[in-house]
Amino acid sequence: MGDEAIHILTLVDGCCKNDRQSQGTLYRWLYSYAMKICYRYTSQQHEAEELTNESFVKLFKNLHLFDGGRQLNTEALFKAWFKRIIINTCIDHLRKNHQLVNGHAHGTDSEAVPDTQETAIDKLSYEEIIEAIKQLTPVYRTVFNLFAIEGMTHEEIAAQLQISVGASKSNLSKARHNLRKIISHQTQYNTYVQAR
Amino acid sequence: MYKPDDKDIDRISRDAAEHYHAPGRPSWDALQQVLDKELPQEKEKKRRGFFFFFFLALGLSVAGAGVWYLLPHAATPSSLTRQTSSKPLNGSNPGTPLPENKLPETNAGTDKATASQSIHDQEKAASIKTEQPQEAGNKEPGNRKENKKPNETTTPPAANNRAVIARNSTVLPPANAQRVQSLQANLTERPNRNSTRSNARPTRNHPGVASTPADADALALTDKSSPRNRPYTTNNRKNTNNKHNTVLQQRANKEKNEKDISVAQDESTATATSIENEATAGKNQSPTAVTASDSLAKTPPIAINTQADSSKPAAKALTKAAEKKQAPVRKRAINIGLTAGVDVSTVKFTHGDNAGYNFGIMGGYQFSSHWSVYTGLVYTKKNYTLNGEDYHPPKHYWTQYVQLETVAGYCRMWELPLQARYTFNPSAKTPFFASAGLSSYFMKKQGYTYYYKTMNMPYSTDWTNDSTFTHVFSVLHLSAGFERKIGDHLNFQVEPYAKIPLGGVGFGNIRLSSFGVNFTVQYRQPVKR
Repeated sequence: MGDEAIHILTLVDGCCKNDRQSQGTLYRWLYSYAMKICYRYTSQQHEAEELTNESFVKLFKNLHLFDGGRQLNTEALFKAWFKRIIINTCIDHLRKNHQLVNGHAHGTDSEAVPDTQETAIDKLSYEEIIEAIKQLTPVYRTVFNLFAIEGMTHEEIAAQLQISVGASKSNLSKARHNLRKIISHQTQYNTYVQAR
Repeated sequence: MYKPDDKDIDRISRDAAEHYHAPGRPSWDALQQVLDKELPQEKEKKRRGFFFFFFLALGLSVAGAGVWYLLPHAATPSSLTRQTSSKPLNGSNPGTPLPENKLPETNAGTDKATASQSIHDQEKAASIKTEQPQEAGNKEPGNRKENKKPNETTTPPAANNRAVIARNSTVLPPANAQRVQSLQANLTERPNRNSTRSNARPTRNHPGVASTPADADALALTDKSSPRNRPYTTNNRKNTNNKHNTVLQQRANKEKNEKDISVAQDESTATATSIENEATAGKNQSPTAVTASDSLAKTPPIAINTQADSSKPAAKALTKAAEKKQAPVRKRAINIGLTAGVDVSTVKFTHGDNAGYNFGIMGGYQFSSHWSVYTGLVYTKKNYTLNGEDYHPPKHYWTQYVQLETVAGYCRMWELPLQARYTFNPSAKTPFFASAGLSSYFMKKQGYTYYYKTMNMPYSTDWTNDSTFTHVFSVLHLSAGFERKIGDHLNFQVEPYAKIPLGGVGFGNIRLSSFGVNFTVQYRQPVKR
């Protein structure tokens, strides 16, 4: 077990004892990691910050459930475990605010995007792609995040969001379609700006 | 024109999610404020403190109950006190544990006279001569210790007579053999306590006899053991015209010729009343009786101080006081009480959880001074957390395989206890008791949060159930505690308890142990006068 793993386990042990110093260290270490996930699932930055803090509170409350002592890659395991908490927190938040309607897509804004898909997508920066994802409706964005980025199957997404597998597939297809339009629009705009 | 396909969209999205920089900066202060509300550090300390005090109280209660249980069997002073307190209250009950009275002032002169007449035993007279002036001058209770020293017979309360007897028989100088013999003879003459009392009275009332050296000794040495007797003495000596005196004087005239015998009579009376079993046995001159009489030959007589039986007002007052003091614990009574308390539940002591609560009504029937039965209806909420392997829902509950890690749950239910209670010291100011019985659970609502893993990723799901689950006599209920009187018929009880599961309860068929403490205000059926 490496020094890093020992350090993580020491932090976890301190957090289990409700030690504020350990909690602060863990928070600063994992803040950007958590924020990057929350930011993809929400449309507003302050919303993402709130969900990040909420995720940390859940983490500290349930940290005694984490068992990383027998694993080789403790950091990866711990991050994966925390990621699960963050995603659940985001989904709960969306469900609480009725932003997740089972199997239905409410994406009139993104569907109004003109269909210009002929630009080079690779020219977009990472931030622009994330901004594009954030423009999707909550249900499309969530399904796309879970499938394309988190790597979950449709069955798992269906169970997680309490929708049918068909609805998950349909939402993913529409999410991709809308995302393609958004990205194309963005690249078209970028090409126009660069040409001038 | 480039048209990204689905794979491209997914790939660039993954890359972007991995490498982009999210805006915002960590604000630990804000989170710390939230944590202070959600996970306060003081709360942990309080909880630890609660557990500490709970187990301390439980331990102390059990230890106290054990001590109370063991004490009576060791023939300690308390057991003797109980024996003596059951005697009749006719004034000749030197063994009754009464509060210490002051030495009557009128004793002084009598004692002086007594000292001057103590000639039957040179050894005794010598000691008395050294004592009597002190006695005459020191009428305060505090000085009595000094009077006791010469004979080394620091007579403790009557309850300790047995110990004193044993000590005296070895420490004191050899008693007059004649006195011992006469004592034994007197004990043989008195077959029972009543006859002892009748013999003792005249002797005590006769001025000449009452003021024997033995009297002086008694006043000097035995006031602790029979403090209540002193007013009698005072009254008796003042009322010399009492009708009893005629009879007493006749007897006294007879006994004047046998001073030693009369002294021995007094002494044996004291012994016989303070140690009733020995006195009765004295009829046969058993070894015990001999020991008692032997010791009494050296121990100042207690009964001499009680010679004022003839004084009726004083006797009545004393009888009343004694009745009050001895107000018997009602043997048969109905109790009813309101109870509330805290409950800490656990399954195999694997997890800690928030405390639950109990409240309800309890009723009981006391069918002897020590034994009673209780039942009632208590509403309780229990919180608990258990490991996944300890949760056993009905078959086919799980529709897919889940790796259940932990289950956090609560339940609200009615509890119907049925207990037998033994009170160790029913007449004490703070009686201790222990209870054992079985409880039935009628579960009304239960809720669970499952923490499980699917594909090595943790999930949690909430689930509640409003179905009623009935578990008859499924819990062994043990408790111990004490009670204090807070009103004429009201008691306040503190009762730590432990509930040991005899079977599984609830939807998950869990073996739920509970510990806690109940506080009860109990109304006891008044005694009919």
